[in-house]
This record gives sequence, structure tokens and C-alpha cells, in this order.
Amino acid sequence: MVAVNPSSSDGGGSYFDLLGLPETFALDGAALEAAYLARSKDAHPDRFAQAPAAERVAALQRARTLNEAYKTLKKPVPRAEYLLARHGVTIGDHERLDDAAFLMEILELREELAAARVAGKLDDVGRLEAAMKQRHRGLVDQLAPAFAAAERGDAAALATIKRALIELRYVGRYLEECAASLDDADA
Amino acid sequence: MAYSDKVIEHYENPKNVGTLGKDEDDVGTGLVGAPACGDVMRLQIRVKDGVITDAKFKTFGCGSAIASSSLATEMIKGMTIEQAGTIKNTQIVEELNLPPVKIHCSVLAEDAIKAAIEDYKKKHAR
Repeated sequence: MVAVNPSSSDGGGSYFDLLGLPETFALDGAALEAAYLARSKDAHPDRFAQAPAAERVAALQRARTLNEAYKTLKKPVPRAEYLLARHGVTIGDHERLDDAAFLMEILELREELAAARVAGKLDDVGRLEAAMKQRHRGLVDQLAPAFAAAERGDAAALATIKRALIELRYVGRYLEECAASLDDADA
Repeated sequence: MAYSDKVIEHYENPKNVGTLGKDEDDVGTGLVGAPACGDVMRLQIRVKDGVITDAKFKTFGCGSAIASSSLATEMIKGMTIEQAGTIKNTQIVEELNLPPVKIHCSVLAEDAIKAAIEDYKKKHAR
């Protein structure tokens, strides 16, 4: 799970600030890559091998934060979670999803997967995984337009994003189970 | 994450896993989801003369969530629905020695009990 804590280790500035990038979901992947590489080179521990201890530690911390920033912003789902948290919206431990139909569907799909796993029916696992991956793509596709709206000031779009991210957590957990089931079979 | 022996015991040998007929008149079903972890928990009770005669659960989640719901079903069997409704998550935390980061799993189980009772009462409010 991605820890969403926007100001954990960068002294308050955002990951976007750190990388000198505009704070938007529609991030240019090549620009992210270039900014990360350039800054990582500056912060590389080898450059500080002869420096005083305090500077070495600081450089190491900077390198670590850069890695964290890159990892968070590179993929759409962690980027979306991070940006949503920057808008003050998080998915907390005590949050409840009040959607019986969705929960029932997930429960039944989990049961189906568990049965296929126990019976060693890899085709069934593969089929369930393929369907869930498609659902994953569909949810990820909702993020860009919703963020575009949110960034134009449409506060209601934040709820849409949150809902999609909640479903993505269930979908992500499901896909982990699929992968674990297929790993079983390899072992 | 180091689980306590009690959590492992309930996780490896969960009590009362299963399903009761959710459309049956004497069955109450609680279905709750914790989106932060992508967990889903269903807890069901069968009630006769105000007493819980049977309880079943199905939980897809971490070991602590499974252990919490397993223990919850054990606790409520034989209780009146009023007694079961007063169960607090802290009792589950104590019994299972849950660490602070897993307390929310016990809260989910408490919510599931309440939701099951609620569902049963709704069926009988007519």
C-alpha cells in the first residue's frame, strides 16, 4: 500500500516542488524521468564520499526522498492518491464503504477466486484476473478527466476520484490474490 | 507484522466460517467494507426468541481481520441481540492482543455485528 503522507520527508514541499514539476495529474512522464535523473545525480552519495558526515547524511536523505517522489508520481494510482491527499482527502483506516452491492460483488468474486485457487483451476484464475485487470484499466481511465475537473476547481470531482481510488484498492487487493494464486501453481 | 498466538490460532483455524441464508426470516446479515485495506467482511446471525443461536462469517482481509471476525462470532453465540449489540471492539483487541496498527480490524468486526443486528431488526420491524 502506498503511504500517503505528502510532507513526510521533504520538509513541507511537495514531491512536485522537489522535482520542479507542475502539480498536476496530467504529468509528462518524460519530464518526470528527466527531472528525477538530473536531481538524483546531484544528490548521489558518491559525490559526497569526502564530505563531512552531516552533508553525507543530508545527501542520502535527499536521494531517498527523490526516489520516494519518483516512485509515487510515476504510476497513476499512487500519483492520484498523493494528489488527493494534497487536496486534504484521504482514505482512512476507519473509513467505511457504504455500498452493499459493490461489497457483495467483491465478496462473491473473492469466493470464486478462492474456490478456483483451492481446486487448482488456473484457467479460471486467469479469467478472473483478466476481467479484474480490465476493470482496473476502466477505473484508472476515470482519473484523468476527474483530476482535470478538480484542477479547474470542481470540488465534486474529488469525491469521484476518491470513489475510484477506493474501488482500485479492492481491485488491487484482488489482483494481488490472483498473482498469489498463480504463484502457488508455479511452486 | 508479528501476530499474537491468538490471532494465528483464529487465522489458521477460524471458527464459524460460512454462510447463512440471507433471505431467511431469522437471519441478520452485516456486510461491511474497510476501503483503506480493501477488506470485506460479512457476519451473519441466526436469532431465536431474541437469542443468537448461530453465527457465521466470511472475511477477505488480513489475518487480524479474519481473527477479529472469527472471535466475534464465537463471542456472540448464545447472547441476546441486546447483549451482542453492546460488544466493544476493545474486548476483541484485548482477547487477541492486537497491536495499535490493527485496532481498526476489531472496529470492523464490531461494525459487522451491529450491521447484522440492524439487518435482523429491520426484517422484524414490519
